[in-house]
Amino acid sequence: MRNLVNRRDALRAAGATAILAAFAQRLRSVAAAPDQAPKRLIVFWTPNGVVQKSFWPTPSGPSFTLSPTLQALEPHRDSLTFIKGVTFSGTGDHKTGQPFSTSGFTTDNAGVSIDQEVAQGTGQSSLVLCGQSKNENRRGFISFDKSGAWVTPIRSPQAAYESVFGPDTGGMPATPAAPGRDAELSTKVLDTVVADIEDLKPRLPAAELIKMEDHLAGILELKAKVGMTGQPPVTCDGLDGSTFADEPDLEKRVQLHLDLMAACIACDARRIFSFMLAPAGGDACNFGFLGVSGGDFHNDIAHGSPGDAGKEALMQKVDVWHAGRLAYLIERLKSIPEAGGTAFDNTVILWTTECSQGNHGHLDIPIVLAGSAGGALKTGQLLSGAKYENLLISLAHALGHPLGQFGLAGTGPLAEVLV
Amino acid sequence: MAGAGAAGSSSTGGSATSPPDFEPLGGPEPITCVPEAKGFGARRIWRLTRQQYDNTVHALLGDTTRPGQKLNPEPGSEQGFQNDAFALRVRGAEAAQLQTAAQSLAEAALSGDLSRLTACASTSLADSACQQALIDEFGRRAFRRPLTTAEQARYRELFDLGAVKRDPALGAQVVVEAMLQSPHFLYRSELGSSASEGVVALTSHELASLLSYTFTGGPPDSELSALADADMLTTALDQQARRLLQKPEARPAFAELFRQLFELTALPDIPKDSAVFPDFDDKRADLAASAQAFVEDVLFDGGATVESLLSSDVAFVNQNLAPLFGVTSSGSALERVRLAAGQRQGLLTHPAVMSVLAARTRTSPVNRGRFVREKLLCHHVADPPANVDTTLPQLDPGLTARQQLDEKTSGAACVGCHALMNPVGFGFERLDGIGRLRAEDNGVAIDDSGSLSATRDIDGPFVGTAELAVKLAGSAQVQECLAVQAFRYALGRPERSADACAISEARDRLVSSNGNLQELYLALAASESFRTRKAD
Repeated sequence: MRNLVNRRDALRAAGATAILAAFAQRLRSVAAAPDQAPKRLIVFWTPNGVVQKSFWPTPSGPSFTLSPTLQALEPHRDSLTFIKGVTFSGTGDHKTGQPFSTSGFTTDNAGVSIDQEVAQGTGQSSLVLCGQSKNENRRGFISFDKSGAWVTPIRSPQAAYESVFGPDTGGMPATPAAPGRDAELSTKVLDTVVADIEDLKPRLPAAELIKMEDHLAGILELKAKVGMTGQPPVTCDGLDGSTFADEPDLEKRVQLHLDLMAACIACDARRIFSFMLAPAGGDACNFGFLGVSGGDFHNDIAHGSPGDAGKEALMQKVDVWHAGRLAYLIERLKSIPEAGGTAFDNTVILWTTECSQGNHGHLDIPIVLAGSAGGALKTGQLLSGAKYENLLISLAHALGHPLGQFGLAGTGPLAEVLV
Repeated sequence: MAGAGAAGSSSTGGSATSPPDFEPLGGPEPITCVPEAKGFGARRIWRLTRQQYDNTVHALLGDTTRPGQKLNPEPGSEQGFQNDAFALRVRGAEAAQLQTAAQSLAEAALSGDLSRLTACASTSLADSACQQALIDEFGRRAFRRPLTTAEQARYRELFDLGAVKRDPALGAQVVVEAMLQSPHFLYRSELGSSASEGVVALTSHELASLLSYTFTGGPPDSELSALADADMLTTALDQQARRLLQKPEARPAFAELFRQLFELTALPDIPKDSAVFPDFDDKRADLAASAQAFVEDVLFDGGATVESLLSSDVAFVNQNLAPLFGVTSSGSALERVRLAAGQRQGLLTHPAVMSVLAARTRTSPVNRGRFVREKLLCHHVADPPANVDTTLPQLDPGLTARQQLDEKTSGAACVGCHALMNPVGFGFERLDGIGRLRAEDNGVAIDDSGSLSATRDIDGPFVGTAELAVKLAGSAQVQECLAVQAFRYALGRPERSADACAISEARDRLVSSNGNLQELYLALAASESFRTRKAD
C-alpha cells in the first residue's frame, strides 16, 4: 500500500512546495511534550445504523471482546470506547437522526454541529468530506455552522485536496506564478478583499453578519498560507497531490478521503474533520464490490434486515466494511510520528450514525470512540446509557474547548469518558 | 486537561439559532391576501450560484471555461431549490476555490483582449488616467454599481503595488483578481438604503441586479445599468422584465426553475443498477438535454402554459433516447417530435423525471406520489413519526411492486401518510425505473389505476398518467402551488404567511392569463415582496 505521508529524502524535500513548507513549519517538534501536540477530532459517520445483534462487543473482565463484525479493530481494541444504550430522543428516521447525531437537534438548521463548534477559534476550518453526496431531502448534511446552515461536504478527493493545499502543481510552487507576484502583493490582494468585507459588515443585519464572518475567516485562512517559505518540509514532503483524483469508484474514493485526512493531520493543515461516508436512507450506495446485491441497499436490504437472516448477512458485510475503514484510518494516523508517539495519540474519532438499525429506530444507536485526544479521554471501556449530547460536550472538553450546553438538551460533560 | 476546561470559562455551544423562517402556504386550503398579511423578507446578501457565477464572469470577461462548476455544489433548501439565499455561503473551502478561479480568470483576462476591461487598456495602460478608468469601469461592472471613493482608493493602491512590482499589467491583473473575490461581486446586495415606516426599498442598482439575475441568470446589461444609474428603474420594472424575458439568456434561466422543481438536478448522480438498466449511464446527458429542450420549448415556443408543461405530446429525442421514448430517431442531435396519443404527457412522464423519481432497480410509487403531493400540490407530507418501531412485514417476492408496497406500508404507523402518496404513485406504474413504457411487472399485467385524496379540487380515481395529467393541469391547487414554487425560486427563500399577498396575486395572474407561466413570473417580479425588504 502506498504511503503518502512518510518522510522522503532531502532531495525530494528541497523541491517541495512553499505551501507545504508552511504547514510543516507549524508542526510541533517531535520532541515536544504530548500535551503540546495539536488535538484532533474526526467525526466518522456511516449511514443506516448497524445489524444490532452482530455488532456489539461482549463484556470481558474490565474490558470487552469484539464481535466478528468488528474484528478489523482488534489491534486497536484498547483505544476504543463503546457506548451502548444511547437514545436519539425525538428521532425516528434518517432525517431527524442525522442532524441529531452531530448537533443534538432533531432538525436541520437548528444548531451548530460538534465539528464546527470545536473548530471555532482554532484558526482552521473543519474539513467536511463525504464518500457519497446527496443534496436533496436534508440527508446530505451532517455539518452545520453556527447559524445552523448546512456545510456542504466535498465528495471529490481532488477538490478536497485543493481546498486545503491549493491546486496540485506537480511539486512546483503554486504561487507566486508570475514575476513580481510576491508574498507582499498576494497579501495585498487578500487585504483588499478583507477591507471590502469590513466595509460591508456594519450594514448587515445579524443573520447576514454570520455569512461575512465565515467568509472573512476563509480569507484569513488563505492569507495564512501566503508566502510562508524558508524551511524544508519535514513530514509532508511525501504528499503527492496527484494521488487525490476525482475518483468515480466509491470504495477508492473513501480510501482517498481517509488518506487525505491523514495527510492533513501529518501536515497540521486541518485538525477537525467531518467525514460522512455516505448519506442515509434513499439509495445512495452500490455495495456490489462487497458482494452485496439484490436491489436497492437501503430500501430492499437494510430496511428489511431486522429479523431476515439473509438480509442481515448482507448488511453485516457493509458493517464489516465500515469497521475496516475506521481501522484503516486509525492505522494511517498511527503511522504518523508525533511528539514521541503517533498522531493517533492526540486524536479522537467519533464513529456515529443516524439510527440504530436498517429499519430506523432511535434506541441503542451504535456509538464508538477511538483514541484519547492526548490522554483526555478514557479508553478501553464498554459503557452504557450515556446522554448523547453530553458525550458530544465531552469531546469538546477533550479538545480543550469547554462547552456548557450543546444541542437541545446537553448539560455538561460525562465523567465516565473524561480522564 | 478536561478538568481545567470544565473549570475555565464555559461557552455555550449549539444553542438554537433561528432557522430559516418557513410558514408553508398552499395545499388544500387556498391562499388569501388580507391586508395585514402584507410583509417582506429580511434585508440580506445573496451569494451567486455556480451557474450565476459562470454567467457573470462570461459577461464580464468573456470566459467560457465555466470555473463555477469547480465550486462546491449549492446545499439547496429543504424545499428543493439550489439558489436558497440562507444556504449559499462562502467558507474556507469555497474561499479557496474562489481564489483559484479568480487567479486564473484574472490571468486569462490580462493575456486576452484588454479592451474588455476598459477601452483604453489595450493601448494606454501605462497612463494613470487609463488605470483609473480600468478600476472604475471594470469595478462598476463587477460590483454592479459605481465604486465608492474609498473603494476607488483601495483598488488604486493595489494597482500601484502591482505596477511597482512589475508593470501596469500586473497591477490590472491583481485588481481583477481581488474584485472577483470581493463580497460586492460574489453576493448580490439586497440591503436597501434608508428605512421608512419599517420598510426598506432596494436601491436602483440592487433592483437592476435582482431583476437581471431573476430573468437572465446574469448581471444587468447596459440598458438596465443605465436605467439604474439614472435612478429610473422603479417605473420601468415590468417593461424591463418583459424585455429581459426576450433575451436568449432568459431561456435557460427561467427553465432552471422547472429543472430544480422537477428534481432533475439529481439526474447525473441518481444510482441505477447497470445489470437492470445496462446503458443508462450513456443516456444521462442526453436525457438532461431532452428535458431542458422540452421545458424551454414549452416556456418560450409553446405558449408557456401549465397545460403544455403537464400534458404536451412534444418530445425531444435522438437515436440514443429513442428506445426510452419508444420511438424511432436517428442521429445524435435532438429532434422535436410529437408522441402518439395517450402514451406520455408533458414533463411529468419524461424519462428523465421518471428515472429520478425511481429507485436503483425498480420504480418507486412512493417517491412519484411524494413528488406530486409535495411539489405540484404543495401538500407537505410529514416525516415518519418519531420513536416508533417501523419493522416491516416479510414480503412475497412474487408480488408486483404495487402489491409489495401495499403490504409494506399497511402498518398503522405508515398508512396515514402513505395513503397520500402510494395511490398517486401507482398511476405511474406503466413507466419503469427509467421511464420506459411497460405492460407487465413481475409477469403480471400492470395496474396503473390510482386515486387522489385530500386535494382541494381533484379528489377521486384516475387511470394512468394521461388522466392524472388532465386532473393536475386543471387543478386550482396545482396552479396555486406553481405560484408558491415560483416564489420560492424567484425570491431564493421559503415563503412566510406574510407573503400571502404576493403569491396570491401571482396565482391570480396565472389564472387570468389562462395558465401562462411567463405571466406568473412577471407578476412575482412586480410584487412588493420582490422589491421591498423589511427594516431590521
